[in-house]
Amino acid sequence: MPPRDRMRNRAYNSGVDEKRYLASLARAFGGAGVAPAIPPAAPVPLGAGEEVPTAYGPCLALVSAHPARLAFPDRSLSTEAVAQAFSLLFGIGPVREGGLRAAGARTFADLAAHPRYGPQARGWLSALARGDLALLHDGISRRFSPSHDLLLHLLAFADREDLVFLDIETLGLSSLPAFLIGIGRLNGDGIEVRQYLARTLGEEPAILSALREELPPQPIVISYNGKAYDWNHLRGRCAYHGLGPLPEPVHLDLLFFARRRWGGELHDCSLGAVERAVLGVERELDVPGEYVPALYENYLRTGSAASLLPVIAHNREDVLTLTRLLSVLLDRVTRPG
Amino acid sequence: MERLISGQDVVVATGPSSGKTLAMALPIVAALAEDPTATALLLYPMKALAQDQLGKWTELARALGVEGRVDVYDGDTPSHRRPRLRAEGQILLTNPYALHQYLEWHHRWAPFFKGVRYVVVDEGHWYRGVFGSGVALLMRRLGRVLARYGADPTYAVASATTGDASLLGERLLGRPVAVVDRDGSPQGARTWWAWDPDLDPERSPFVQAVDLCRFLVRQGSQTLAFLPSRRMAEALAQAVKERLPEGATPDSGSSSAVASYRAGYRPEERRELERGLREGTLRLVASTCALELGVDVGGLDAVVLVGYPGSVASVRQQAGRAGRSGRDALVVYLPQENPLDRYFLRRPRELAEGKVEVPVLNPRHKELAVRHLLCAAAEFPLRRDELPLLGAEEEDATSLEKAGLLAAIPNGWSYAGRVRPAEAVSLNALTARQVQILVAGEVLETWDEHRARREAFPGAVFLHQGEAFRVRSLDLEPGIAVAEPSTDGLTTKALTLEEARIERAPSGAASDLGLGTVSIRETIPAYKVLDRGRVVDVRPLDLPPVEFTSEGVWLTWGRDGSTSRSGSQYRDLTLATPSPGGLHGAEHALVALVPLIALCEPGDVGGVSSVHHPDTGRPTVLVYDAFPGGIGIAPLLYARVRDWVARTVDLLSSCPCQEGCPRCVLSPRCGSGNQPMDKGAAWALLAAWLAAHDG
Ligand SMILES: [Zn+2]
Ligand SMILES: [Zn+2]
Repeated sequence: MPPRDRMRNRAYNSGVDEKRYLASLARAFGGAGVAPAIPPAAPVPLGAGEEVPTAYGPCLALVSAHPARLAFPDRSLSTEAVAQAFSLLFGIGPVREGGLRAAGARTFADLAAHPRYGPQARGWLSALARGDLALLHDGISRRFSPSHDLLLHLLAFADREDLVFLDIETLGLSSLPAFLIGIGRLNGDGIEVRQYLARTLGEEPAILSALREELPPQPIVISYNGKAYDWNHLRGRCAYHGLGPLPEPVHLDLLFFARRRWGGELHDCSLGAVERAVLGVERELDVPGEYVPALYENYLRTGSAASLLPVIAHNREDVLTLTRLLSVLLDRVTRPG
Repeated sequence: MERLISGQDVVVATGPSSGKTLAMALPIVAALAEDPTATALLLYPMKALAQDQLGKWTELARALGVEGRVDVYDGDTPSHRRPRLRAEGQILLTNPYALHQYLEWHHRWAPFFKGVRYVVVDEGHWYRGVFGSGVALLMRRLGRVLARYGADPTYAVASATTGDASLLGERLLGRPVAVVDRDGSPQGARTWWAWDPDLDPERSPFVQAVDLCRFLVRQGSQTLAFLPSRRMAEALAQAVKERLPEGATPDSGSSSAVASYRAGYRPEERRELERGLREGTLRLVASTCALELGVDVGGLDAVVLVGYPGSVASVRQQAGRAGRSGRDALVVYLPQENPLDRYFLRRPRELAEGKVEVPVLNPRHKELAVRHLLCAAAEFPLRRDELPLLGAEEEDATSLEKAGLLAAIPNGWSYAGRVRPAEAVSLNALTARQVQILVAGEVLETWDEHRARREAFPGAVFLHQGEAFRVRSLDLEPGIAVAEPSTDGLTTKALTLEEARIERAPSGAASDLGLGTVSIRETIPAYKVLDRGRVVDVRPLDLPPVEFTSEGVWLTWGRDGSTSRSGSQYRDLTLATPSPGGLHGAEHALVALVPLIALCEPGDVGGVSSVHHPDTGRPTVLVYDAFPGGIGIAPLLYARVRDWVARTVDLLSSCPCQEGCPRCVLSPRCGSGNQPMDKGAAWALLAAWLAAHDG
């Protein structure tokens, strides 16, 4: 018979004390381990951050301004480009398009009186005249692939303030918390990057809430793989915290354009690879994406920003790269011919 | 079924194939036909079963004019079909394993979840033990997620007859339920025989079973025999074949009309078998318990039960295969050599009509509740007021916060771990640490570490769906046991030495009876190798002891054999003061009959006896739940202690042996070689305890 005191003080599991039990849970579920929680108010030298209040408590916003050169397509040229795309009309395939062109039709305006395609053509013309971005985006996405140049032409109809360059950092794939949301907004001839940071995981609802307050009613989201990942992830996290749905954006996922444009030469179309090959940018000391969760956790455990600063820089660079990449992609569609 | 329509949660408890599915499905499908925005979620314990039932639901939905889709949605559903099913599905069939994964993606399920008006849990009796407790917690998570989408569904549990259907429903769903108890299947009379193999000591019980089956087939009865393992099923089929003439007419039985059946057959093979039985070309099928569920064989002339299948509920399921409408049928029960089997030989009426065990499940199990709490936290942030619903307390949440698995947010906690909890939590395991049983590199089963340490020691033979496998090695650190198919027919039994200390017992309880938290230390010093039940070898083991905390029930006696309340008139019953042999015998017999009271396997409980237990200070027999934390067995034994002890007294007084035998007090698992042992004293102690306790 084992001594009485050894048999006692035992948690639920086979002969483990509470600490070991919690540690085993932390192992199984990947928790940060038994470590003192970091109070949000602790002085963390994170750089020039400002605390922003939200309906879900405060979080930290890191704001920086950068130059950005982005020439948007010319509206009349883009209107022309869209109006020439006969295959946007339901019922028109290559054969029929050939027939219509042979008969002298050049743009939707020439089809406006067509007995069969007239109503559709008039609808497109009116949307173009109004610059109804959501409708145009919807119509083009239905007929064309998400990497079609016409989608870039849409920016001719956009308000520059509605553009949201987006990149987020999370604790992992699938449904795990996000802790850093980086967004870039154009202003004047530069770009302002705002990064909302959750200083504890408890601040996740606050950074989501800050993003929602920041988003224009009809955002144009520019991301890299954001359709599958970033935006999707944010949508899931908002649902998780019961924040209500995010607005349905016009979403230009530059991954699709990059694949179409450079996929032949580059077998790796990751943002880093495209950045190096296309933009000629070589980052000093960048953080490989797979280390990001561990670095954030280290920050949670130690309270020291040392491991977090590279992640913040990495996220900011990603947002800026989106603007540069978009600029290169737009060069082609803005250049006539 | 009016209750179902009016929105009351029900348990429909009926005999096998009595149309419980139809009775339940009809009002549900009718309601969905009227309201195309309403949906129903149907849970089946296994994938195959959902597939089996899909046809019936589709047919009914079509007949009643349901507009939405009716389909199975589980791990096998191709991903391109999923969004559409979530958007347009009106009746979806799935299983708990799949649902456990889907809850976290609730926002994708919003269209379906918003509309859920019915949740059906079919084969409710299947949800017991560790799995049942996990599913009970899953049902609480489901209810919580549905509530966030504004759905407040009516629940219907369909179950084979169980001991206490309302208790099962309540534990499973976490809310009170109404019981609809009826048996609507058209059946002829059934005659039950209990066959005592001792009456013919010249022939082994197995040979007697073979002769019995051959006799039944020869005289024209279509027969189904249930055996404990695939090997025995195949051996019986083979032996009967050899004794039947070739090419005789089917009715009189020819060797080609005999088949065996086990789990894991492909659907085509099952259909083939079902057809053979229906059309009468098959005259005898020898099966493992696999035929219990989901195979529609129609009614047979005779069912032979070789050995007690472990529960009266199973007996009813198996016997239910006998008898088609308007024709009489025969059920023969042929026991093997152990106390439970023996008990029913004397009381076949209990098999046919007696009470059925209550399935044990324990949604309050601390460790399970904590793990499902993490799953729930990953579905929606936890609010403080939701903790009791999930079987947890504030203390649990704060420890999890300390461990970095929860993060405090305004009004509660969000999940902060690094892995999806649904991936880390298995519905089948009690503890977080798991052991995979590998056969030829493939995972055959996943056990929790506790079970692996007790049952997967090197050399152990275990059954997987009636097939035997032998463990070659067990490595707890990566959590892997390597096993191989075993064809030599040998089985093993671990010998167990147990120690038990009482940690906490509610005060004020009678001193001759207790229920409380116990610390257990089990050592497996050796294991026996058996060939057809005969011990051919005993091999020593050198394993560290298994220690855990659980729940236990204990009986005590006064030093002179009296119980606390017994007057002197019972003292003469005790023959002597409580002797080690008497207490030991009482312990073995009580442990052996636990499955009569609480639906569980014989190895799910252990026992300890002592003439002076340090924690009671009295002669004591203690029976404990062998699952860490307790799976709900001990409270049930405590609640039905009189019934339990009375049946044990009955077993001891009716066994024809003198000194004690494997049919009463001798346990094949006893670590001290069944020494000391005194059957007479055991009987007297229990009878005295009962008399005192009744008085
Ligand atoms: Zn006996
Ligand atoms: Zn013993």
